[in-house]
Amino acid sequence: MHKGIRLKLKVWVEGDAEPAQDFAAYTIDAIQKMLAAGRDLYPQLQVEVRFIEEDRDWDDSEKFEA
Amino acid sequence: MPRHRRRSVKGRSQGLAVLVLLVIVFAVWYQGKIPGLPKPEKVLPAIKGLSTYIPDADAVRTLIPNFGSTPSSNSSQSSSPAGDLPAMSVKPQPQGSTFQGCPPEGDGGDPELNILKNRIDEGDYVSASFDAIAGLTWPSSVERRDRENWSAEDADAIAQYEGVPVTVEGYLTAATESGPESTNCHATDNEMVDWHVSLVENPGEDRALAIVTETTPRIRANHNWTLGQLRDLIDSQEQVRISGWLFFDPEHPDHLGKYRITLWEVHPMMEIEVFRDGTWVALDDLN
Repeated sequence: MHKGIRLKLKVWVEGDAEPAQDFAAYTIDAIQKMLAAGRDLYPQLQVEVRFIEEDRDWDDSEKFEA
Repeated sequence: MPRHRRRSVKGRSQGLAVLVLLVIVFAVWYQGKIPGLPKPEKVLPAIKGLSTYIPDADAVRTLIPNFGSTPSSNSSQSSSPAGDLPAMSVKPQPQGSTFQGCPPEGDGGDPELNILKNRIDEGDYVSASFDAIAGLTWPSSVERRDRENWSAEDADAIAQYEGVPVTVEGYLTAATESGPESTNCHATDNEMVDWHVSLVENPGEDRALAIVTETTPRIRANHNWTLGQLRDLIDSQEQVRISGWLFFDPEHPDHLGKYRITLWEVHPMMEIEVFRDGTWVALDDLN
C-alpha cells in the first residue's frame, strides 16, 4: 500500500553564534541539511520538507526550556 | 465727540486689535508654524499635567479643541484623538543602541518592528486611560505580517498612534519571561529576554482583559527591577503606573481573549511606579 502523511514538527535549536548573525536563517538552513543528510537511511520514503519557519508566537503561559 | 470719549473708543479699538493679534499668533503657534518657539506637542502635555490645578479647565478645553493633547495639523492622515490619546502628527524618532553586541534591528525577523521594541529614548509621557488604549483598533490585514509587507493605508492607520509616549494606570496580573526572539538576537539569558507584564484596569481581573506591557533588556539595564518585585505587586494588587511607548505588535492575534485584550502594547516600558501611602513611588526606590 502506498501511504502518505503530513507531520508537524516542533524543534528547539540552540547554540553559540555572533549576536547580529541571522540565527533563524542559520538554523533553518542547518535543519534542512540535517534532514537531507538522513534520507539515505530510509530510501523507501520520499520526504519533502514543505516549509520551515521560526515560531514567533511564544505562548505566555509556557516557560521556554533552553 | 468729546476728546475723552474719543480716547476711550480709540483705546477699546486698540485693545481689541491686540486681542485679535494674540489669538492669531496663538493659532499659528498651535499649528507648529513658528520656528524657534517650543512646539505645542512639548508644551501642551505639560499644561495638561497642570490642568487638575486649574479651576474651569473644562471651559478652557471647550474654547481650545484638543487642549492637553497635541495638534493634528501637518498630517496627511485623518488623525483624531482616540479617547484621551492625543493624535500626534509628529512623533519622536526611536533612538536605539547596540546592547551586548545585539543591534537595534535584532538578528533577523522584522527589523522595523525590532527597532521600535529596542528604542531607548525617553518621551514626554501623556496620561492615557486604560480604555483609550484597550479600545484602539487595527486593520486585520496587518496581523502576522512583517511591516515591509503592510499596505500604505494600513501603515498609516497604525502610525496614527504608534510611538505616542503614554502613562497608564492599572494593576498587574501576570509577569513572565519571553522566549528568545530576533529582537534580542535570540539570546536565552534572563537578562537578554523581554518580560511580559500584563496590566488590567481593575484589581483581580483576568489576563484576557490585559494590555501587555514589556520591559526590554536595554531598559532594565538602567533599573533594578526584578520579576520577584513584579510578582509581589501582583500579589499585593497595589495600583501601578506604567510609562512607555505605545506600540503595535501584529504577531500574537491568537492571544486575544486569552492573554490580552488588544494587540496594542506599551513597549518598551520606561518607568514603573507604585501608588503607596498616597503617592507615586518609582519601583526602583522601593528596593
